[in-house]
Amino acid sequence: MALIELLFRPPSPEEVVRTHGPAVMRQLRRMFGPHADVDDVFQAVFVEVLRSLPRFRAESKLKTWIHRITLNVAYQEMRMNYRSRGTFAPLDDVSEPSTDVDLEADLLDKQSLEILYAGLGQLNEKKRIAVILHDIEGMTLREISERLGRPLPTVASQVKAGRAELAMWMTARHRSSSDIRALGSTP
Amino acid sequence: MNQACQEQGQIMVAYIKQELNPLESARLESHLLNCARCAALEQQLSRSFRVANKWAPQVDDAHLDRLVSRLHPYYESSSRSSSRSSSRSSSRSSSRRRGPMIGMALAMAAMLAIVAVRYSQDSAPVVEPVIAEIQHVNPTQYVRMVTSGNWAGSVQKPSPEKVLIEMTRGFAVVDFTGGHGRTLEIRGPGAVIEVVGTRFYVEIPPEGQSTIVGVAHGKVRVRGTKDTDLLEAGASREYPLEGSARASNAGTAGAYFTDEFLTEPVVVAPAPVATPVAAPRAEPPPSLRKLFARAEALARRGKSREALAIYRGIAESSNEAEAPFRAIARYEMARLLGFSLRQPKAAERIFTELVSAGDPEVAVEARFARCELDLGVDPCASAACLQSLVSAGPAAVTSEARQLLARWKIDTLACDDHKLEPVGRQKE
Repeated sequence: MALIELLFRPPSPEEVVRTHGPAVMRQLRRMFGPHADVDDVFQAVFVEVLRSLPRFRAESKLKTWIHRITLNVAYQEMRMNYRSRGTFAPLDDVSEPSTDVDLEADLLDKQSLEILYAGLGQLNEKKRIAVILHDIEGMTLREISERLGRPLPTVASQVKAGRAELAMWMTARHRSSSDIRALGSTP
Repeated sequence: MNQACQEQGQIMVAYIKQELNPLESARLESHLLNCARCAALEQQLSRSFRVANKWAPQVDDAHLDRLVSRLHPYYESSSRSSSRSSSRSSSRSSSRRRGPMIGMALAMAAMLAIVAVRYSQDSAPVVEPVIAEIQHVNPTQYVRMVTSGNWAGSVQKPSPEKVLIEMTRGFAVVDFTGGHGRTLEIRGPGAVIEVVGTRFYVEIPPEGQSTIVGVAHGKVRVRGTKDTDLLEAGASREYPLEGSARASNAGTAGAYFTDEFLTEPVVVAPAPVATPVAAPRAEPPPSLRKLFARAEALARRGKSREALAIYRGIAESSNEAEAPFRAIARYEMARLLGFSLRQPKAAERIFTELVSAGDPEVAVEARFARCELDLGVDPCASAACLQSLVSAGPAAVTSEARQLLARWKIDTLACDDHKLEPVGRQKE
């Protein structure tokens, strides 16, 4: 009977973390940005996963179930840190572009990513998570609605409003940095 | 920013994501041709989303190991809960598998106790992995050890009654049952520990310049470089390579180990760094899953023949999707034949076939089951069978065979002396 138990045995807690940890970490980084320290959020996700694992009924795939928990924990984290916006790093550490073409492209990519996440950090948590899931994670509005338990029209309007605010913030940022550059070049 | 820019900005991401209708797109493109600021915004947003969409942050192994270690305290409660729920759902579970799960939970509990002792002073929240990795070394029936993962040393048995352990690194909790002239000696830097029958704790600090000894039960005689002490329960001293022994508060951790823990061999998770995640066996089709569950339920209710018929059906099925599970079905058939229906020869024949068949996981299980067949009638033959796995099998098999030998409590010393005679095989 040992083999049957082996066949149907749930994975051990450590196996769960080792197997699904990299995907959770990738997802958290994509949700919180390149500079965010998401170790604590990662721990919170797996504390919740391990706590609930004995009750996991295999009605969905473990991966899907963990993804859902990750979203919920990340969302809670965003709500708690919205005021401080501590997880979104400032942009002042971006280096000057190099003359090397590839390196320059890499730096521009890095800078673009940082600008995007800095802009996302300005949104409230509901809009932010909606835009991240839809426009970065590639989830459909219906999937987001199901995962977050929000009505479809609400999700749609949050994505729309979030995108508009993001564009506004980027425009304002572009204008202020142009103004600063202009001030700097004034004799 | 004028009204037009504001309006176009609101739909800019939708434009980049190609969600606008042709009319809206054309209107926006026309605006971009005449507005440098909006064109810059479009370029910026477009690049940002393109980079973000293809961004796949990597997690390096060392970082993952750290995160896995941080979660160690939570594994224990989770595995305890799951072992409880799995024991409810599982059948007349094999004597082999259930024990280790219970042992594991106990091991983790004991481990946490030790960690609490060692780290309560500085309240470090992270469990040190080296301490968290524990392993069992059971050189004989009467010496059981739980060691840290970084334990280093050798275990020798110069005579049937004497065990000699030389430790150079790590810690060990040792449980020794004396009597019958048995002796145990442990040598570490600066100390020789002579044991009469007790439970105690030995640690070699990282610098390797001393040996710490703590006694949980009984008495231990320790010969240091300058002193010889008789340590009693609760006492703990550190014996340096040079100089006199001094009191130590580190050696009382042995008291946290329960009787069950020390006598119950455990399957120990290897070091987090080295843990390979085994490729999971493919999921059985739902219909097959139901069949296995039904057969298992029948077997649990004592309806072995009905269960056997189901397993035979699976084993002889021509359905390709069920092919990977035929060996398991045959294995279960053999177990029913051997342990419930008293047909050990038929069971042995199937187990032997499975040992040489292609499924390695089933082959290992079949080898153990074949040894188990003799347990009721000829424990020494079972022990010899397991002993052959200890000496010939791969590392995982060797380790489990050792643990089984301990679990079955076969006094191999007595077997050596021919004190245990076979009681006669049951008739088929």
